[in-house]
Amino acid sequence: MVNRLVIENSGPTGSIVLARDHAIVLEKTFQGSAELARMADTTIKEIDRLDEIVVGIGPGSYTGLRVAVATALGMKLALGCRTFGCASVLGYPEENYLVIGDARRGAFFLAEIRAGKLPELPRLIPRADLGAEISRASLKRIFATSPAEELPDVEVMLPQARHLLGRDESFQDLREPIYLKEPHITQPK
Amino acid sequence: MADKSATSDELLCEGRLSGPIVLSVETSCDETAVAALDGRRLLSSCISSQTLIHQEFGGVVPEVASRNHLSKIEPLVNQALDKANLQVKQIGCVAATRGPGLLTSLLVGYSFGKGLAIGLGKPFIGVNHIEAHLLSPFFGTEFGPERSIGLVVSGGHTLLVLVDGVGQYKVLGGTVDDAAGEAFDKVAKLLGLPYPGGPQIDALAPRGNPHRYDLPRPMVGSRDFNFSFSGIKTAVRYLLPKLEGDYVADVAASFQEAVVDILVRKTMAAAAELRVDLITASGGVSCNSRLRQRMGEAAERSGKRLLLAEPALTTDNAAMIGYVAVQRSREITGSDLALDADPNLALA
Repeated sequence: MVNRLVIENSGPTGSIVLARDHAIVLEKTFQGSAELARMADTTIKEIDRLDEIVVGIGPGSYTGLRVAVATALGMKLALGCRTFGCASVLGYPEENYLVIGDARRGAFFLAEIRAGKLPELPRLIPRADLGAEISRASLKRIFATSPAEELPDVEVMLPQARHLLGRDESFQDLREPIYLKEPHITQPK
Repeated sequence: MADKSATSDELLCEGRLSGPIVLSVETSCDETAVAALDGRRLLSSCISSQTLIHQEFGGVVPEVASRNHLSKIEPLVNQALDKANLQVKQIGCVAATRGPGLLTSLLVGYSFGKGLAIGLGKPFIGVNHIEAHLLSPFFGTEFGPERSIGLVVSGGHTLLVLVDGVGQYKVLGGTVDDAAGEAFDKVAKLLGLPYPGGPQIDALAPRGNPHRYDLPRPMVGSRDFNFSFSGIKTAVRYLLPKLEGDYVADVAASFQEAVVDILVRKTMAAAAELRVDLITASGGVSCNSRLRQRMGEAAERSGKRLLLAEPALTTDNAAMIGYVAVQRSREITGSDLALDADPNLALA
């Protein structure tokens, strides 16, 4: 029997799932780092042993992702369990779809999921190209992680921990979030 | 999981060592730091500095800092445990800096600390970074924090505080513009010295004449305990174009003397007015050799006791975070898990 905790925190509302052999025994949503800690604390008290922690690693809010990764790494050290990262864009209830997210500073990311996998890292496109990219897309099921003027007919949905639960083939060692850009650096005058 | 009984290893630890083991984490700016304490005894203190990484940018880049914190935190905790010859299960309490500082940096150490405490089922204490600096001069003394005037002076903060014991602080004054260390860095940059500029000016000043240039002492005569340093920096900016020849050491010495003059006079005035016999100084700028010398001379003249933070504790470190946690762990029965990191966390 494998007890697995899944944390997804790439957007403004996160989710946490506790599963026993892939069967969900507990599921909660949270907002912010303090709620995540309280949820994780109360959740693992439900079991006598935690074997694995899976964390959504984005793309998404760098801050939220780092909070989830750091919390999981701390728990791993204490519990001696395994930790995995999994692209957050796999956290949807479909197998073939496109995820569009705001990557800030006039850019969006596009992630193509095929057969439940992310064959290539999400790519960045300028906001101005968004409409053309969507009309060209071969995948007709599209999710946006937040509303945007350019996406009036696209379903807005954040990734959810429950849908990352069974993406075992896409798990990797947990290290850091998916960083789509180099840090934005302004040189002082 | 949190309510399980103590293991044999934990009991062995409790019998062998004198107090609860505190594992502390500090990531408020650009230093990733971890320490282990057994009561008041420091078992290990590890720091991974990002100074060289940020040097090329002329200051700390928050996103770069937080990425580095995340990659360093786990190996550094393991290093601190190894150095202390501790098993992770021996940790009795986890502490981490809650603020003030850069939010994205704070959240890495604070979240890792929470995760560690959650996994261990042990208390978690969020510590105020300024409080940790303020109490750091008491680290290693036989006595704990007592009534004193504390000068906290660093790159991000310049504060005068009346301390009446752990958790009992009254802020008497602070900077109205630049922190003293910030002024050091900015003037060093004007002089063409590398970042961080404080140690560079400290090293250069003894070769210069501190009275060569008459720089202003803003607010030194004000009746409050506030500071202002941007005027000195501006005076240096207007002075430099008029100078020729080998003037850098003289400017560095004159600038340093002006800043130290203000810090010493304000601190001594506070101690005199409030009739406090003990003066402390902490924070990165308290490592400045001229400030330490002048504080010592002023304290001796006025018959005050002086406690200066050990140089190793003046820059950001986790030992001081652990020290506050040790002081506060006696009064804390719960945990700070429900508290968020706060980039503007107030001292009092």
